[in-house]
Amino acid sequence: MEAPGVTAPWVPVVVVDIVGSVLTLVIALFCAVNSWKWVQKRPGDIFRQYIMLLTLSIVFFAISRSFGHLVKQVLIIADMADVWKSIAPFSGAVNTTAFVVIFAFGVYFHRFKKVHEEVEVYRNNLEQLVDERTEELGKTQATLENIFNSAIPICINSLDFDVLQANDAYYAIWPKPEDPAAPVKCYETRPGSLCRTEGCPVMLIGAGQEEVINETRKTDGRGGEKYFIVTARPFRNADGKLVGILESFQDITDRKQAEKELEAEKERLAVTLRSIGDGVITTDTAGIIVLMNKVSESLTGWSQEEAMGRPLEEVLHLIHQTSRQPCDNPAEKVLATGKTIELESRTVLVSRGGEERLIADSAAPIRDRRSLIIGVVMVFRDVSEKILMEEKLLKVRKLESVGILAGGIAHDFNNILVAILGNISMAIELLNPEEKSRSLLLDAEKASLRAKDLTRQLLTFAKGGEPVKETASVAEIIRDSADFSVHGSKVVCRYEIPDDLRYADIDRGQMSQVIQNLVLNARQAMPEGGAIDIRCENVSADNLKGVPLPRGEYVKISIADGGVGIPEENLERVFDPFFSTKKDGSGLGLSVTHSIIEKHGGHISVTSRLGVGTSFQIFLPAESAGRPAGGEKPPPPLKLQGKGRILIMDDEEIVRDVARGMLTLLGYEVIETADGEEALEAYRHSRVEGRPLDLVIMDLTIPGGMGGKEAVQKLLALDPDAKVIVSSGYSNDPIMANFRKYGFRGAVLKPYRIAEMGAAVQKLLAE
Amino acid sequence: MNNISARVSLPFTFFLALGTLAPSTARAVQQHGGAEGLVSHQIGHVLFILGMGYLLYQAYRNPIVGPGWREFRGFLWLIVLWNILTFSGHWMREFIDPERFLKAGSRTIAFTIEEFPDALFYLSSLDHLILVPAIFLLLLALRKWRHQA
Repeated sequence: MEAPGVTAPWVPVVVVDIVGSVLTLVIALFCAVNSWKWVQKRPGDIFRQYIMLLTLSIVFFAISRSFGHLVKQVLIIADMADVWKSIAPFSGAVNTTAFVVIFAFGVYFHRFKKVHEEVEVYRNNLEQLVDERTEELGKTQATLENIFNSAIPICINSLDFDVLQANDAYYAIWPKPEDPAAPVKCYETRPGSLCRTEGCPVMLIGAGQEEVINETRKTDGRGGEKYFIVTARPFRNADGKLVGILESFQDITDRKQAEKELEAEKERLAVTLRSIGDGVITTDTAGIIVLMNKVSESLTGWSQEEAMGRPLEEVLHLIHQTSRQPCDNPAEKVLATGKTIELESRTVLVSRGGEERLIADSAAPIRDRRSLIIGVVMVFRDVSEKILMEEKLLKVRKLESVGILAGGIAHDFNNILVAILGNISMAIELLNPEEKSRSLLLDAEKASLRAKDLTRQLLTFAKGGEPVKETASVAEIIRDSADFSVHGSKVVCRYEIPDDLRYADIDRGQMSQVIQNLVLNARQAMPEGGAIDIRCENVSADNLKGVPLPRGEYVKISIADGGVGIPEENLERVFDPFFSTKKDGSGLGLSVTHSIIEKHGGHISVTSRLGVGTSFQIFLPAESAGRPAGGEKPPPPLKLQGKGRILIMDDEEIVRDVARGMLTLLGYEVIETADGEEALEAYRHSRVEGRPLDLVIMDLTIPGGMGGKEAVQKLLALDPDAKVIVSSGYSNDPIMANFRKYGFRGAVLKPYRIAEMGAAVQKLLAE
Repeated sequence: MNNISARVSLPFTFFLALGTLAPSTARAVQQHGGAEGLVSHQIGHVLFILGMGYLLYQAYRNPIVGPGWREFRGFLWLIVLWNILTFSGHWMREFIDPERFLKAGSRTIAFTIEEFPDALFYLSSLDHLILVPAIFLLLLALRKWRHQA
């Protein structure tokens, strides 16, 4: 008996088969798409590729089976089961193949998974390594960028002159282009003197040089000029291929500016140093010469180029003037003591050529900022002239002292002479002409007159001054003075003086001094003896060729010697003050002579030939009346019956006594006063009494009281018609020479004789 | 060990696959007709099961944690189950009495279930009820993997 069965409809099977196949088909396609897209996210992932292949094999199976089942159901429904029977083995075989492929992929899961895991590990390690390296690289890059941007201006140029890269410092000077993508040529952004020349670093590096360093001037982004030291080196890529140059720019503009300023300062100092009037030499601490100026070159005879590097003592050769022993090296002394020193006096610098000069020198240490001695500076100058001048000045001062002394003596001596000469002259007048003693008195008077000349010379010597001219015989003065000057020597004077030699308006004392000076010079020019030819002649305007004098009559005096002569270069200087070729000469003799002749309105000149002799020519204006020579003018006859009241003002009692004696003898009434105040009071009193004074004789100088110069002005204020004679022993005083200018009407030189006093008084009273 | 099995299994699988292309009229010297096609197919199922089983083994032995792998394991389970079901269906189909199929013409309209194998065969005819979820789980796994990375 068969078990009762259950009949299950076959439709659900067909429906599930058809619907399941369609769904399987669709889902399988989605699987294929998803697996493909998943792999595409990481194409190199071998495990994904494996899963995709596995999925594709399953999809293949699913499609094959679903397609087969759908075909089967369609054929069965279409009642074409036979057709299906012939196709079914192929469908089954494809499915079987798919199973085998799926199996094959399945058993490789582990291997792919392992490979995948290993790859993942490697990948993770690699990624970690990459991350670490990336981080390190980032740090390194940041560091390099910091360094790059913190460094001096740096840029990378291509070999085509394009600026490829640059740091911040570079762009601070040459700003970034507006369009960073546009290539900028280096010679456009930073034009310089070397751009596109043979010295261009790009060209040199491109030609194979490994390093190019040069100093160049470039224009910055603002158009200003800057100086750089540019260092260029090759820039190579990772393969070592040269692709450009790396240039760094060291800005040396400030240094250049400082160098320029330093150079200018150095030049200024050098010019200053070379312009200093003193010699300057600097040495180092070893005493080796480092620098010397122009004056030093002149004094030492060494040029700076020759002297530099030599020891100081070799160039600055110093010796003592008297001992002739070498002086201590001043540089060594300064270096040893660290103090400023001065050379001993009378130090002589012997030049390279042997020339000797007295020098004054100081040497001081040169210290640096830390006060350490780094050398010595010596400053010295030629004081030969100065010392010579000082010696001459000393002589002059001595002479001045002597002059002052002489002046004082002359003044006192004049007053004494007034008494002597005055009394002698009065005695002569009082004596009978036949008295034998008269000749004795005349001799005494003559001697007194010589003494008077002597005092005048002393005064002239002492003060010079305006000549007190009088018409006198030049011949007599010449003979007296010349003979006096050659007295006691081997020299004689030969005179050639015509009898008709004109008188001249001269100051006897000064002219005597002139003759004495010239004759004394001639005598000294002939130490072995000889003759001095003295010639006098009258010259007229026609014979004054080459003589700078106005037309007129002159007396010419020539004094010629046969001495050594004067060198031509000294001839023009012989009349200069203090010029002398004589060791003991003051240089004043010819200067005073020249001055005296000029003040007399004359002219003096000199001619000389070495080894032949020297000749002086003097031109003196002849006396206006043209009186021929022939001795002193005879004194006018004295009138002893004079009438009038005369006031005498003199501080010296002895002078007053003599003057009173003379005037009384001449018949005048005399009133004596000691100074200006007394004289004015007496004059005023006499006028009040109604017995006015007719004449006043005033001493020029009253020590401690009102002198003649002031008193005459007050007196003239009192009485403009007052007649005043000035009397003084200071023959060189301008007032005596130009007494009218000061208000006096006459002048009487002390010491005076009764004749001179009488002539002056009588002449004035007669006016 | 794995290398050796790989070297043996790949050529074997290749020649086996070639053999299945013409199950009824194999152009080999030896004739392979009749049940040989079914045997080959069943061996294919077995290999399918072994392959998926090996995957399951590996999936549990060295579990991969992450989105999609749970769905993938579900797929493996279902596909292995489907293989077993269809393998059983194919096998039992050889032993089922043709009379059990009630036909209307050449079309089957019903199936008579009298014994357990009949019931099992009938259920195996509804294999899409397992295959479609299995493929769907595979789709879910792929979608998760795809969206994951």
